[in-house]
Amino acid sequence: MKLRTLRYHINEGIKGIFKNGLMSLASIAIVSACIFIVIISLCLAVNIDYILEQLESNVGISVMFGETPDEEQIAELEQEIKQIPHVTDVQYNSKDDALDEAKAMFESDSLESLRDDNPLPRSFDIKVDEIKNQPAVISALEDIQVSFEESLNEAVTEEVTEETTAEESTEPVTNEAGAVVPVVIDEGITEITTQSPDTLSIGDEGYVFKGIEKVKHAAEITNMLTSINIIVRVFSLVLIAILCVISIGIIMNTIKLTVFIRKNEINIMKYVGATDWFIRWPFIIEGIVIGLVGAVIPCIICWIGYNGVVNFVEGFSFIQSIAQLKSASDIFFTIVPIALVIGILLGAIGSINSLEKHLNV
Amino acid sequence: MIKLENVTKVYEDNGAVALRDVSLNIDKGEFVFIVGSSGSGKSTFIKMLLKEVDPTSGSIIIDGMDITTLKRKEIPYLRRKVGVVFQDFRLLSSKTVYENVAFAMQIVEASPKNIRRTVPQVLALVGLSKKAKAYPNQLSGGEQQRVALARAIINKPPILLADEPTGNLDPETAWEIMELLQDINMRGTSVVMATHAKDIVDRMQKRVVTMQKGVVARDVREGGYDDEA
Ligand SMILES: Nc1ncnc2c1ncn2[C@@H]1O[C@H](COP(=O)(O)OP(=O)(O)O)[C@@H](O)[C@H]1O
Ligand SMILES: [Mg+2]
Repeated sequence: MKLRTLRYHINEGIKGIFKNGLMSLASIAIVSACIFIVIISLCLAVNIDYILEQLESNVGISVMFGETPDEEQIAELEQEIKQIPHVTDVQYNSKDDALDEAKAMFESDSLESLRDDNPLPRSFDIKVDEIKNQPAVISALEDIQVSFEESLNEAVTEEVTEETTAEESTEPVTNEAGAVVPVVIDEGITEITTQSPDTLSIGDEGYVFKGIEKVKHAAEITNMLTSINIIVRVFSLVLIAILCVISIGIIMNTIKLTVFIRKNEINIMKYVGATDWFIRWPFIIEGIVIGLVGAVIPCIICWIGYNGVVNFVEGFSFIQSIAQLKSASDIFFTIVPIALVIGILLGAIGSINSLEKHLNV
Repeated sequence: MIKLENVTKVYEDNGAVALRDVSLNIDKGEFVFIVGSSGSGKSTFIKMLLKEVDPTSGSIIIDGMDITTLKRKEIPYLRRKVGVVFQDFRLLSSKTVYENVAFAMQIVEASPKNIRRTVPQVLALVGLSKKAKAYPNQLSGGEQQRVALARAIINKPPILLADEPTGNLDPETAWEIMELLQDINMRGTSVVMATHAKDIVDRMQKRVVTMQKGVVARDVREGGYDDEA
């Protein structure tokens, strides 16, 4: 196509929009409405995703220690855990930290009496980059738990062997550090379970870990967040797909009407020897311009509206502390091109489809 | 220039036989009237030369090319060689006289310079220089047909078809159009005109092909409407 012909087509296409002013306005309104809904559902989807992501990073894993490991061993474990892929942060909580936290949670000072003989375990709070990586991190932690426990047991056995040899006694020696494990139950009563490390081995039911007592994670919250995430994504995709189909249908009808009104004109063009593409182009350009204008309007409205929402939400600091919204420029940097492309496609597909029937003269 | 061999056209939807075994030769630069009563197949004949309808059997050769085998994509190029005017003018009502004529050149991607030079020439030829900026609804029937003629000949087609071009015009205006057609014919364009206007045909004394129920009943060189072959 020569440049002057392209100019002619653009000229004709734009003239066509004004010639059928009312129809064009109707089409633009319909495209706008559709893209408006597409943008809103995209905004929702992206933000729900983003908020879930932020919540996810708060759903961490806790590693609780028994009484056995000393501070030095715990520091070593911290290094080891930090090496696990996808672990973003490891936070140590001392017994005092745990007590403070419990006090804050129950809003009561009566727990203060426990301070000197604190039954609460020391622990790590471990953060994982993405919720889907949690299982892998947990199994890595459980491996560490077992190997650390084995190293503790070996150390104990060596000690025991030495002592036995020295005293030449055949009586079994109980190991205090390993045998007594405090378990916190209601009303602050400490139940003492005794256990012989010789009778149960790691992996047996009832075996109580002395080192890393427990790897705790909120499996339910994790699963819930993951499924919300999937539902939101599927739902918004389905909604967008349905809307696109509807708007193509509506544009097709609108352009069909335009074409029908100009059927005579098309007929005359064919008699004069115009090729099919020569006839199509002005209509396609008309559709594209309608689609573009129809996309730009909701983009501007939504951008302004979204900014308003972000500013409004920023006014509430308690919401800010839980999760934040994506910034308008962040989100619209992606949405605007998507909306424009959708607009162009809707217009072009709509006009091409509605033309074919009338070109057979 | 135009050669029909054993052309038969049966409209499939109603089974009407519009043309029956028509064979005809039209030379370069000829002026031919296709006459006959309503329903005798004149319009079908014209439409066939534009490949608006295809013959059921037989072949049509225009300018050495068998148009019955043309692909859909090639039809526009045939139509650029065959100008056409109709009884109802068929102008684009949203375009001015000038634009209606220039439009035919834009379709063949002529240069703007060429368009600006040629359109006024052709408008002068049909006597409409002063109406260039008018819209079709501001013109008389005769003037509208002149615009249609200007549009039909601007790309200098070797053949000009006219289907009852004077059907909507009063006798005086009709005769002006005929003079214009004759003028165009004198410049070397073959003219094929379907009509049932007896007075015009008698006055022109050109070749007359008479159709009767789809059959060529008479073919008279330099004759009148009712002349025997
Ligand atoms: N599109 C069509 N479909 C079916 N029959 C048609 C069609 N066009 C013309 N005919 C029939 O073909 C015959 C010739 O018509 P036409 O060529 O228009 O004659 P004329 O132009 O001489 O009046 C008529 O019987 C008419 O009814
Ligand atoms: Mg007719």
